[in-house]
Amino acid sequence: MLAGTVGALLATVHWSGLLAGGALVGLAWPTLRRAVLAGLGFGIAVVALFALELALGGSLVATLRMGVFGLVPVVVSIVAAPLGATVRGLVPDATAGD
Amino acid sequence: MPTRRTLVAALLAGGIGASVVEPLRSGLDRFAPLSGDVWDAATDSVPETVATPYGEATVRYDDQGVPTIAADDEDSLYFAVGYVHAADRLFQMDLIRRRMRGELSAAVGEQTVESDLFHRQMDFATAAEANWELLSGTSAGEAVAAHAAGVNAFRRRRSDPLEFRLLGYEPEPWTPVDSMLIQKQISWGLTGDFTSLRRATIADAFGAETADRIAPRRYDHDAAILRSRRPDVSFADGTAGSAGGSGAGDLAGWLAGFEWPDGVGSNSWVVGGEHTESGLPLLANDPHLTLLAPPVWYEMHHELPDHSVSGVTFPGQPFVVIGENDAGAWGFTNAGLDVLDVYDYEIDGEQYRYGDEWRSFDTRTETVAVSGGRDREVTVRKTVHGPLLERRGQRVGVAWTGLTAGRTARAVRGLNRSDGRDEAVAALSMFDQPTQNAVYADRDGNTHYHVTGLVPIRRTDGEAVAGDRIFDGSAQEGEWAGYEPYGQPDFESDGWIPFEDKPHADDPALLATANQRVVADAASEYYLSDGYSAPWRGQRLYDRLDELVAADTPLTPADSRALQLDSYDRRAALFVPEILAARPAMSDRARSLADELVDWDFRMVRDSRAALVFALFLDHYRQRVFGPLFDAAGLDRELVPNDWILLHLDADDPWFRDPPIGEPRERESLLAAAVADTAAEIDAEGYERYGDYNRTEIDHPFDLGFLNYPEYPTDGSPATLRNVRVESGVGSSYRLLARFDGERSLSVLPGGNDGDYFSDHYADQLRAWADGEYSPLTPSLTGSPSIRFRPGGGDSA
Repeated sequence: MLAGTVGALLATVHWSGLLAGGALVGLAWPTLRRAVLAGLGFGIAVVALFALELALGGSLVATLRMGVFGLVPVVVSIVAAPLGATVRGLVPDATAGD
Repeated sequence: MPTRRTLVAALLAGGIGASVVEPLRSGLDRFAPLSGDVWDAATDSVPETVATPYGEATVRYDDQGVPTIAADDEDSLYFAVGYVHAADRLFQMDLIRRRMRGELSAAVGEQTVESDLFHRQMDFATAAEANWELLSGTSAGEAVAAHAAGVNAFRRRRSDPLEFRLLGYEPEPWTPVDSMLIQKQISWGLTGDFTSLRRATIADAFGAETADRIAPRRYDHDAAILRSRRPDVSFADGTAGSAGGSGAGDLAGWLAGFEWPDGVGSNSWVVGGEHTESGLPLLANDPHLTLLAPPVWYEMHHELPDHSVSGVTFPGQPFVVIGENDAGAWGFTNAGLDVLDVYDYEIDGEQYRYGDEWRSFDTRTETVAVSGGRDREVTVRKTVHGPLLERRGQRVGVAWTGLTAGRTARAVRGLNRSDGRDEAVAALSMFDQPTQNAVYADRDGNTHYHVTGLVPIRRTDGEAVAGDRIFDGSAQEGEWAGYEPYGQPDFESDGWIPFEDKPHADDPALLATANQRVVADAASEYYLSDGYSAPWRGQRLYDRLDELVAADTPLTPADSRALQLDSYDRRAALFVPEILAARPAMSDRARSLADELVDWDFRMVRDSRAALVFALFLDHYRQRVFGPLFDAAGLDRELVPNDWILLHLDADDPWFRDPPIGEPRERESLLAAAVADTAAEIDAEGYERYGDYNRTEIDHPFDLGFLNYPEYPTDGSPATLRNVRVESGVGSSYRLLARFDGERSLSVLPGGNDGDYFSDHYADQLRAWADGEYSPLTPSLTGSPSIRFRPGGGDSA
């Protein structure tokens, strides 16, 4: 949770925060596979937060109408966060295999 | 992970083009969620309090995003106007100044290089500087400076609109010279006209006799703006001159690309109180310009202690250009006067002969930066007349009134402040560019019509001559006394038609303008034009107004409105009988389609099937009649004659019987073939009614789907009063119905007032426009302001 919040905060400043956030979240898990899943969860949470920000600004519908442009942040988030989480693979597992 | 190519391809899918190839990192900077630059544009909002170096001002928006700016003095007001212009239209403003400066490619890349080359050769930028030099120090100049300061106050917030973020650049500071460029753009659009070059090109290709018929100087009709009891004698004159043989078609075709599209024009009329129900005048204006997202115009209300004005402004210029104030209302339509001349020279290297001496071109080499591409070099040459335009070996000099400084900003400010007809007319006398038909009416019942603008009296050897040919510049033909390109003209010179001598009408009871002939040549002491618009709308306007006046009931605002929405097409009335008469020559499919035109009332309404058939037929017929010969002559199809010529070519015309190129043809077969083409197109496209084809197709400059306006079916055609031209995206860019009887005047914009894609007001008036509806022109004077300008802070630059 804490890792996720920190990650989200980082991501508001710069897109590298998605990678860092994914990494922070991933490192909290015992295996690579679970780390990547957690990273994906973080990425989805970021998209939800983004949608909320747009909705509060009255721009959600307009953004959805942007077609491919509106899709890019979703793609970026869902790819970058798990990617960041793969850093977990650099650290030996707590248990051998899964 | 998406590859660089696929991400870039996603970015490019809408068609910005290869010019916006950016590294992946920059794409992430822009589009990543939460941090992405583009999304700031989605969530930014305009702040409630802004520091101003001037006095207090407030902004209140109505439910269509039309702001009312209130202040105690002009500078405070115009600072706020500039701020709001920037908040709602900064990208449009930047695009226009870049286009006029020839700096588009630096922002958008390769596809605007041709445009930049042309605009650099014309050097509108130096002309704008000369204009600012004339204007600064005047009250209008101070207003422009305050407005620029307001624009920059917004710009400094770095809350750039979406388009800047998509392209990845930031707007430069706004200067008063940029505001002058805004005016040069509209002046160029309305009066930058190479008709003489076009006519000479046609004469070269097909012979002078043919050119006189298919590119005549005058159309035969009796509906001049200033109608007279004398017959409207057609202006017969000698040769069109030569465009210089081969290669000329190239230059004319290329320049045609920088003239505004066909159909740019407008309607206006004024009816005096003696004919109206209220006893007070009625005035209406709908300028026909390119329909854009966001619109050319920005609607607003200005409230000062001593006057209030409502109407439309150009983003980037402080004053209301078309609209009304406490005292009266005014409107403009394009007059079609000839304020541009083209010159040929004897050239030797970097010198040209001018009279007895050889002069060097005023030469400068400039670099056109191209984003994502190779920078270009362009050599800008000028002669005594103005810029030398060059294209594939052909070169002509150009004189144009817009290249010299003018007092138009003072004139428009004067109109805004005018307290009645006399002051308005005095203001109009300074309206130097563009030349326009101005109509005015005030609450006291006074009306007025006047042609505005600098109109040159060109002279050869001291004798006044017509400007409808290419002049031999080396022989000093067609000289404009008092004209100073890129400098200050001598307004008092006898080289200009005096204001009092320009066509006008004092207190006309009824006057209508629709870009048709202003006055019969025989009734004018001066040469005025080398070609007006075809009189489809002019004739319709006068026919209807005459009918209304002749009827026993006085005119009402509803009559004015009905007129502005009139979709009766005189082209159809003229030519449908010809189509029907040609049915025996048609195939079964074509004949059954032609049958749909029987019993049609000639109204181009969206639910009409006959209107669909006729509209599509015209295009096919035009291509069949002119296309093959123009192609064979190597001429751009941009140069083909208009519908007046097309539809008045009777079956025995030499164009069919004895053509300048190719074999004789039967008009009847061409007619039949065009109907067959129409049938094929209708089947291919699946059209059922006119509204399937005649839709608003109003695009954002990027032409990215989501930035373009929705498409709505609408009534009207290029030749009807209710004007829309789907092919070139031109139409009624604003509709104003002014009245003085205590009820509100009405207006509507084809789009939305706010150029911010994320705003509710991005396109919120478009449907009403398409449906023929209006809103009252009502300022917002109560309620808490959206923005307050507080003195003591900010920069006055």
